[in-house]
Order: sequence, then C-alpha cells, then structure tokens
Amino acid sequence: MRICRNLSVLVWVAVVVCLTLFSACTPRGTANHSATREITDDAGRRVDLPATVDRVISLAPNLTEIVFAVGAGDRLVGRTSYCDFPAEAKAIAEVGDTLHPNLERIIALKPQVVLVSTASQLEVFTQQLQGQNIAVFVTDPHDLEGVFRSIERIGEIVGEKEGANLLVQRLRERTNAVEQAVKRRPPVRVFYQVSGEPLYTAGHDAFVTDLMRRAGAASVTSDVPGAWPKYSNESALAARPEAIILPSGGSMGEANSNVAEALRQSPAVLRGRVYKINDDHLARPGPRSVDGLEEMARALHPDAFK
Amino acid sequence: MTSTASEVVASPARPHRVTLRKTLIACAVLAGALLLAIVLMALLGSEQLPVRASLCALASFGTSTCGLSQDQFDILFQIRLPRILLAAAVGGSLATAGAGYQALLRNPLAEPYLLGISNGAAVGTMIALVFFGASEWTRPILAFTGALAATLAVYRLARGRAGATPERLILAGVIVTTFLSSVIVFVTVLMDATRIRSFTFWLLGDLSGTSKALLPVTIIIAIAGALALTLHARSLNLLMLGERDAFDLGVEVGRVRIVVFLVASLLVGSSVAASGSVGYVGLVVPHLARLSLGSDNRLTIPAAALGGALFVIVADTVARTVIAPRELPVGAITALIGAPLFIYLLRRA
Amino acid sequence: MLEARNLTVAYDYRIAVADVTLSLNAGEITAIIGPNGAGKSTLLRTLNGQLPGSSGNVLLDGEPIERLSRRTISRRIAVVAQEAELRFPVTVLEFVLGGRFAWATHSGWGWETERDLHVAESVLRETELSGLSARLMNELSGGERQRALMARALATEAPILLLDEPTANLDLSHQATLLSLVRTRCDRHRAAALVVTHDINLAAQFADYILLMKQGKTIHAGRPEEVLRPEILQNIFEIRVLVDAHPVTGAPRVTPVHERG
Repeated sequence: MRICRNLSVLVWVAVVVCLTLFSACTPRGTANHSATREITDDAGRRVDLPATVDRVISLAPNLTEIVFAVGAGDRLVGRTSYCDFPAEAKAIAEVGDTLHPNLERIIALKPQVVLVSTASQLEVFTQQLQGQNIAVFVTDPHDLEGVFRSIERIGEIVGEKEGANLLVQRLRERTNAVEQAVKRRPPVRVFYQVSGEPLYTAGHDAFVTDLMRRAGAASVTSDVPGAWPKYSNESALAARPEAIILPSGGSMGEANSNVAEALRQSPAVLRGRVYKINDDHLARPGPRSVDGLEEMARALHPDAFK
Repeated sequence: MTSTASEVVASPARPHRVTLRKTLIACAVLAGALLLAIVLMALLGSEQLPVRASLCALASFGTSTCGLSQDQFDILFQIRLPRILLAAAVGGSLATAGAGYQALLRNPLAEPYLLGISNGAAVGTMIALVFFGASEWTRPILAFTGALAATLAVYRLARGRAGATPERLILAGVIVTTFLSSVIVFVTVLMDATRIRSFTFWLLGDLSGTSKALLPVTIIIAIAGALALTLHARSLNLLMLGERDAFDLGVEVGRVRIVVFLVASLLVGSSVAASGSVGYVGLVVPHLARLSLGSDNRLTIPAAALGGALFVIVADTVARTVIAPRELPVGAITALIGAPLFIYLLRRA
Repeated sequence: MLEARNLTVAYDYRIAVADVTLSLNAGEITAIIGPNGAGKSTLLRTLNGQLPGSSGNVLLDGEPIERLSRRTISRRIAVVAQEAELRFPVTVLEFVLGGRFAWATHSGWGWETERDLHVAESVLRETELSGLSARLMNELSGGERQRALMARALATEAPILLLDEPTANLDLSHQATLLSLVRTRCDRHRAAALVVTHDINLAAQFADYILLMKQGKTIHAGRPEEVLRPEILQNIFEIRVLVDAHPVTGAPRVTPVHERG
C-alpha cells in the first residue's frame, strides 16, 4: 500500500544518506592534520610525518641499531624479536619477527612511524599499516652509501639530525681510512659463504658485496644476479678463492662455522685463510657495517693495518 | 562371441604377454640408456670441462686424470658424479615406490608425494636433524619411520566399509600431505634455519648435498628395493586386478601388502633423507612404463626403476645448468616436466 | 571334496550363516538359492577360506581349511566372482594366465611355462574367447568379460568351482553357455561346482542338488524336484509360485504369480 511503499523508499534514502555522511565523517588521514613534513623513502614513496616524532617502531634489527645509534633509543616503542643490539633494545616491547610482525600489537603501541626494511618483504604489510594511518618508512640500502643515507634520513625522522650527521661523518672517516689502506694492494679473491649445505653466497645485489669491494676483496660471485643465490658446488670449486668469509656467530650462533665441502681443497682453506666474522656486522645494513668492513679488511690485508 | 572363420585364421600369432626375454631386452636397453645418461650428464655443469679428457677420465674410472687439472678432476669425480649417482638412486627409488603403491592400491594415481608419504619421511628426517643432528645415520632411519607412519595414517584414513577405494585413498593422501606440509613449514619457520633446511628443500628437493657416507646406502637401498618388489611382481599383477581375486588365485595378500609397504617406505625414506621430496617421479615414470610396456609388473617395475633414475638425472642436470652458476631445486623441474606430461598421458588414456 | 559341517558364521553381531552342513561331490553341481541376505555369498566365501567360521568346520579333502596354505587352497578351489576390477590395461590372455599363479614354482615371481600357456589356450577355446585373446579386458562386453572370468577359473585346473552369481550380467544365450561349461567340466573332468544364483530356473536345469537358504539357515536341501515345490518356495520367498515341468527338459519350472491389484 502507498504508506508502506513510501516508508520503504524513505528507509532506503535514509540508509544512503547515512552511508554518505559516514564515509565523509571517517577520519581520513588524521596524520594530515598534524603532518607538517613530507619525506621520500627508499622505495620512492612520499611519506607524511608529524613535525615531531616520539613514537617509532622498527621492524628490522639494522633499523633498531640505527635508531639507537643516532641517539633516539628513547623514542623507540617497538622492535622485532631479532632486534638484540644494543643491549638496551631488549627492554623494548616486541611486536613479532621480521617476516610476520603482529599488526594488532603495532597498532596498540600507537606509533607515529614504522620503519621497514624491504629485506623483510613487507609490502603487503605496509599497505595494511597505511590503512591504519600509520606512516611507514621503507629503507632499502644496496651499498654503504645507501646505509649512510638511511642513517641520515632516520635521524631526520626522529629529530636527531645532528646526531645522525655526526655519526655518518665518523663512519665515513673510518670507511675512508680502510679504503685508503687497502688501495694499493691487489684485491683478494674472496668467496662469501652464506651457508655451506646447501651452498648459498652473496650475489650482485647483496649489500655485503659492496662492503667486500671496499675492504679490498674481489668477490668471485659479484656478477651473479640476485642477492643471495643458491650457488653451484662446481663453480665454487672452480673459482679457487684465495680467502673465504664465513659470516657466523652473533645472532647466528654456531651455524655456518664450517666451510662447504666443495671448497675444502680451495687455496683459501689450504692456506688457512678462512675468516669467521660476526654475521651481525655483515648482514645488518647499519652502523656496525663499518665494523664488518674493518674486520674484513684487517683479515684480508693484515699488513696494511700494522 | 561367434567364432568366425576369419578369427580362427587370425589367431595363430601369440598375442602380447611379457616374457623373460622381453624383460631382459627392455631392461638392457634402459640400463644402457642410463649408463649413457650418466656419462653425458657428467659432461654438463656450470663449469665447462674438456669433453675428450673427461670421457677418458670417466672411462678409466678415475684412475687416470687424462690431462684434466686437479680442479677439473675434482669437479668431475667429487661433485658431479656423486650427484648424478644420487639423482639416479633417488629417481629409481621413487619410481619403484610409486609403481609398488599403484599396484598395491590399485590406483594409477598413487604416488609417494601425493599420498603424503614423502612428507612423512621429511618430518622424520627433520626430527633426526633436530635431535640427532651430528649422526647422519639417524636420518634415513627416521625418514623410513616417518614414511611408514604416514603410510599407516593414509591407509587407516582411507579404510571404509567398502575397503580403501581409490577415491578415499586419494582423499586421505591429500589430507595427510597437506597436513604434513603445514607441519614442515611450521617447524622450518620456527626453528633455526641453520639446523633444519629451509622448507624449499623439503618440499622441492635438492641434490647438491651429497653425503659421502649416505650415497652408497641410498644406491644399495634403491637397487635392493627394486629387486624386492620385482620378486613380488607376479603377486602384484594379480593384486592390481582386485584384492579378493588375488586372494582367490593364491596370493598371500596380507603378506604382500606388508612387504610392499615396508619396501616402499624404505625407498621413500632413503630418498627424502638424502635429497628432500622430489615430486612427480613416482607418478609419471611408472605411468609411462605402463603405457609403453604394458601392466605386467615383472617388466614395469624394473623399467620404472631404470626410467626413474634416467628422469631425475636429466631433471637435475637441467636444474643445475639452466641458470648456472645458480641452481634451481630439482623438484621444480620434475614438476615442470612431470605435470604437463601427466596431463598428456591422462588425455591419451 | 569340499564340505561344511555345522558351519556357523557370525560377524557384526549378526549370524550370517547358521549351522549349515553341505558337501560338494565330484561331478555334481550344487546350487544355492535364497532371498537377499540369506547368507549365500557369505557361505561361499567361507567355503573358500576367505572368511573364518565362528563354529563348525570347513574341510577340504578332509583337512580343516584353516590349516592349509593359500596356494594349496587355490589349486583345489577356484572362484568365479561377479565383477573384475579392471583399472589397469591387461590383455585377455594375461588375465587368464593369472589363473596359473597357484602353480608357479616361486610364489610371487617366475614366468609362465609352456604348460601354463597350453592350459590358457585350451580354456580360451573352451570359453570361445580365442579370437579375443589379444584384446584388452576393458574392451570386452559384459558377457565376454564374464566368460574371461570363467576362463581364468578354469585355467587354475581346480577341481572345485565356486561361482557367485555368475549369470547376473549375462543375456539369455550366455547364461546357458556358461552353465553348460560348468556342466561339461563336472561331467568330463569330475569337477564339483557350487553355484550361488538368483535364477531358480537355471538352477533347476543344471544343478544336481539345490540348497534353499533363508536368513542363514538351510531350509531345504535335495534334488531339484524335491526342493522346488510351491509350499517350500512360498515359505522362502513369500510369494505365490506355480511349479510345473519344463516342456523340453522336464526340469521343474518355477513361475511366480503376481497378485493383480
């Protein structure tokens, strides 16, 4: 009847109006209201940040180290379970591991920005965080310069620009010193063994390949496409490396302490030039990467550092 | 039904059946092909080796270097040849096990990978790695146990009032496979990746780690397993056509079933412990053997064993040369070749 | 040759066969007739040793069947079942040769001997399948497949044949052919046969001895003329029947009378 039909039309109109109002009312980009600066991250994304940041979450061990190194450790409110350096980091709340951080816990900690490393393959996750209006800053350093840039950027984000610049300056000095020392020596042919069985090494896109180059090493796998390729045993044998780097210890513990079977007869092993270096100094693109650089350089060119 | 004159005239030629002679000829041909494959694939790899010198060294069984440098010699005899032999052992084991399961379960789709038995072996091996890491011998033993446990689980799950029909069996197999795959992923993600291999190893196989101690064991098990199943081939021929019929005709069904389960689990266990799960071999190779040589297990089981060795040797050579010096997991290649081949076979049948 | 004495078979809390005694003698065809669920197939399966009896005995040549090996039993008793699972391609010759398994010298392995081939060829002739020996089993018609099953059973050269509804899927001409084969075997080779069937008239024609079963019990047993009487049949099948003599063979002919409503 007429009344009923009119009533149903009315109800529909009311529903539509409410939905429209509701969507208009949804806080969109509250960050916009207090955001006063925009910064571009390593993935080329424009990130809106508040003027002052005092609540940061780091989703990678190297990023945690950088935050502490620039003096902003007090502003870190969340870390992954692998973030174990410096010691003070262990007091910070955990939000899961690098591959599957806990979204709810991150949101509950109310960060203003979340620092993400692409090494953790967090693209999908990044979108989820953005949906919650949490700024996400992606770092993706391919070489040492990239690391210095990351440190400077993060310093900017957390308001420790001076501390960051100072840190980078010192790190550059140390790096230059190393490069100068090994400059005149012929590079040592090195095999970087990520794991022995199965055999994995550092390829062209690996961050540590740049470190090796600066340390006066010629990585026999620097041309291999990819970052951490599974490598053929025969090619490793045929490469006859003069030295082998075994990233081990640190958070890796006892793992990777033995040279791969295929390399047991290599010149490196026969001359005892197998160097175990703390994996945390090599695999984490952060301030301690320069420690790794120095350790590699000293191991490969001992006479340059007398 | 009417016996016409033409039929009487046409029947003198004896129709197809498998004889000892046919079997020996077929096996000799396959064995020859296998030997050829071993030699040829030994010439291929991420490093170029001089062909003539390599052939000479191979022919001398490694006693003479024939002008190869020490490195080249080591590549040939320490890295490539052991890997090829492992590939042969793994391929032969899995194909034999597949043929055995297919005959026993009366289902052309029965395969160690699909039935979850490979995953059971994988879980067993993982337990060995975690708790008995140093001792290599625990791996095939626990892999065998895992395979057996998975077999029993599938068999129990598939049993209904009407017995284990093929449909129930495949369903049970899928359930066990997926469950165990999740367990594998769960454990590999949780556990320190250095103690346990990554799950790509378990689920896609990897022949690059050739343990000096376990290689001979894997080869011996492959050969012994194939022999053991072949010795029951006639029983399996009857079992393939119905358990009840086989029983009526004199087959000790219960005993044969136990033997096949044990032998197949041993074959799968030793393969998985050495190289992770390599899928499709147990499915495609016995199928091919049956399509070309008939269903008589006296021929198809040894043919499958030899064919499986051939298949995995070739697949592994592709895996280690196609993006050299990088490597692909061999299971990816067997699936890439196996799946389309299987579809083709299904359509022809 | 094969006898059951006071055999009772119970499973799933049900008594499938209750205190049945029967004996199969050389040269005789015994038919078992009864409604569904009478326990006929169970009885057959117990007679060949597949199912264990709960009480009573099954004796093969005087020996309790539980004590005999599978091979021994298979050389003496052959079973013709209704269906064959044919999931794998196999030729008729290979299928029939399967019947020679019990005679293999090495169980599980070994190759067929000249004798095996000879026997296979002769049973193929007997069952008129010689022209089809190279064909695949699943290319055959239902009737041809049944004959192949028969051929396989005959190839075992077992003197005792147990047939479970062998004519179920056959047309008229094949039904008669199959049972004449059994008759010939019994007459010429002194075999003993047990036929479980629904077809009363066929049984009447070919059987020397009929066992009527209902709910596991033997209701009546004897020669066809004695057993196939209206009162007895009505009691078993709960339907009115008319029994007269077949005009040509003289065997009892049973015709059910359907009440028109």
